[in-house]
Amino acid sequence: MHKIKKVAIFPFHNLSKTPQAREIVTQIFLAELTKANLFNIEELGNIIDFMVEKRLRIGASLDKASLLLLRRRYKVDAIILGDILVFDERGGVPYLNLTARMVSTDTGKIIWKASIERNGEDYIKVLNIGRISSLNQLTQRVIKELIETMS
Amino acid sequence: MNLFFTTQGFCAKFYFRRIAFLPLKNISGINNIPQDIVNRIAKALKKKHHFDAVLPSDLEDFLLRNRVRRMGVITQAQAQGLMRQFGVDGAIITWLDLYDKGENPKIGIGIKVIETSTGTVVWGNYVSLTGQDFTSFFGLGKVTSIKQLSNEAIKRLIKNFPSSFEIQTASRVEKTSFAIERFSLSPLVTQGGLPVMASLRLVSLLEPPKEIALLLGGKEWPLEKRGNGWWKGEIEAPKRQGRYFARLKLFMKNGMLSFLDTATSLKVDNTPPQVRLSFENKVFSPNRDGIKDVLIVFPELLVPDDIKLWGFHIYNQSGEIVRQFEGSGDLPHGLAWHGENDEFGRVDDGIYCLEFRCQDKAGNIMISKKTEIVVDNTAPQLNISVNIAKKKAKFEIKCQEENGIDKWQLTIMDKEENIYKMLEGKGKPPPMLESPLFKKKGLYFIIEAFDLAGNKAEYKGLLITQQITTTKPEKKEKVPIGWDYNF
Repeated sequence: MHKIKKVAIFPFHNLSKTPQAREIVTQIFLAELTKANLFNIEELGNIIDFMVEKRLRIGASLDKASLLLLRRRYKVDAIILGDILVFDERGGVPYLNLTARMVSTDTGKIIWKASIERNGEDYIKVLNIGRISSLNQLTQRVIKELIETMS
Repeated sequence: MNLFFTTQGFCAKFYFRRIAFLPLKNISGINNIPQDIVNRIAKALKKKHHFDAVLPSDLEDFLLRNRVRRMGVITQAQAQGLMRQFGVDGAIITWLDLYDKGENPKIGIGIKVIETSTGTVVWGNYVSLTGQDFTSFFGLGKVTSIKQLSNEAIKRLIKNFPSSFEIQTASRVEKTSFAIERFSLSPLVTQGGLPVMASLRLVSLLEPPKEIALLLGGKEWPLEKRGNGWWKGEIEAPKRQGRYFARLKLFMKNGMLSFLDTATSLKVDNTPPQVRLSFENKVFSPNRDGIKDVLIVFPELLVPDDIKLWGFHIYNQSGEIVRQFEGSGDLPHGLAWHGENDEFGRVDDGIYCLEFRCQDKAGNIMISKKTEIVVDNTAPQLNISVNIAKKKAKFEIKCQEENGIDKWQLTIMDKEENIYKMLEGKGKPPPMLESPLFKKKGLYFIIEAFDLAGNKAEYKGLLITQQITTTKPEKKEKVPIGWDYNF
C-alpha cells in the first residue's frame, strides 16, 4: 500500500433502493479520502469520461488493458471501487452497508478491501448521546472508519 | 510557489491567486434550496485568503460553450480550459446532498478543490449537521432554523481550508486541452491487412488541432476532418496477429504536438478457430426405443476465440445436404441429431457424413474433416437350431448384421422367469453354444443379439419345440390422458 501515490475513485455501485446514494457516497468518499491525505486523487470527471469512452457500466470489473490504460493516461497506481448494499432509514434510524476495494493498476490485484455495516444507534454512548439521526452524517462517519483501515 | 521534497517525490506548494467556483450540484432531492450558497462560500474564503474569485454567474458562457453538463465533477480538459480562459489556479466544486427545513433541520454539504493544470483533487471536506446536534441538557441549544444551521455548516466546511496546496509535480499528467468524446474502430477484430474504418469526435476547449493522425501498429494514419469535431479515416490492419492500442497524434497550429491515448484496441487475428469434435453414438438407430436413438456431437474450442457463425451439415452418400444446424455466437455445448431431415421426415438407413464449419469475428473459417455416421434401424437377423442329445442342448446360431454385433445373451428360464443358465458375450455370438439340460419341464430359452446401432434381435422358444421371433422395436404405450381411478 505504501507504493500507492495516486488513486482514482470510481462511482460506487448502488445496490440500495435510494437512487441518490451513489452520488452521495462517492462524493463523500472522495472528500474524506482527500482530507485523510493518504494519496493524490484523480478527479471524478476524468474517470466518468473514461467509463463513457470505454463503455464501462458502474459496478463492472475492469480488465487488465483498462487498468493499464488508466495507469498510463492518468498516472494512477490504484483504483477504488465500491458497492452500496444498504442506504436507508428504518423507523428514523439510518442504516448503511458499504464495501470498498482498492485494485492495483499495475498487477490487477486487490490490495485493500473493507466492508462495514452500521446504523445510527451503534454510536450511542449513554442515554441516547452520540446517536446519529441523519443518513448523511452516518455515511461520513462510516466512510471515515473505512478509510482509517487503509492506514 | 515553493518546491520541496517528500517521500512521494517533488512537491510544489502553490498559493492559489484566482479560483473559479462552479455552480452548486444539488443532489438533495429538494428543489427549493438557497441559490447563494456558493457565493457565501466564495465570500467567506475570499475574506480569509485574499484570492480573486470567479463566481458561477461568470462561468455560464464557458459552461454552455463547452457543453459542461455534469455539475459536481470536472474533467482535466475542462479544468485546463478554465485555467486558460480565466487564469484560475484552482476550481472549487460544491455539492448539497441534504437540505431539510423541518422541525429538526438537516444539511449536508461538500467541497473539493481541483488544481486546474493537473485536474487533481487537492483538498476536500464534507459537513453534515442536524439541529439536534447542538442540543445540550434539557433540550437546550437546539437549532431550529435552517438558515442558522447552513451558516454553521459553511463555517465548518471551510474552517480548515488551507492557504496553500501541495501538488505532486511528478504525478502531473500529459497536458491537453482536448477530450475524446467518441472514438471507434470498425471492425474491432479483423484479419491482418484488411481495411478498418476509424471515427473520432474530439472536443477542443481552445482551437481545434490542424491535423490528426492515428498511431497504430507502428504506423501513422492521417485522419480527415469532417466538421463539427468529427475526424474519419481508413487504415490497414497490421499484418501480424496481436492486439494494437490506438493513439492519436494532434498537430497544433503553433507547431506543437500533443498525444492522446484512446481506450480502444484493434485485435488482429489470422488464425482460424481450433475446434475438436467428439461424438456419442456415431452408429445409431433413431427408432425411439430408448437405445442409441440419437447422435450427439460435442464441439470444443481448443483455443479461446470469438465465434461469429457456426454450422453442422449432414450429407448423404450422394453429397446432398439432408440436415443442417446453424447458429451465431458461442458454440453450442452439444448438438443432437435424431435422424430427421430438414423437412422433419426420417432419413433412410445408410451412411452419412457430418461436417462442421465455423467462422470467428475476424473472418477466419474452419472446416472440419467429414466424419462418417451410420443410421441403422434394422435389427440383426438371427437363425437358431437346437439339438438335444446326451443331456445337453446345442444351439447352432447364425447371425447376420451389416454394421456389426455389439453383444449377445443366452438365457434359460422357466415360466416364472427363474433363470437356470445365462451365457453372454461381446461381439458376434459364437456359431455353437452348449448348455446342460435341467431336470425341469417347460423350460424356455431366449437368445438376444444387439447390433452397434442398438437394434435388438430375439429368438425365444421351448427347449423342445422352437419358434423364431425377431423383435421389432416396441411402440411405446401412450400415457393415459386423464387419471384412471380404477387402477
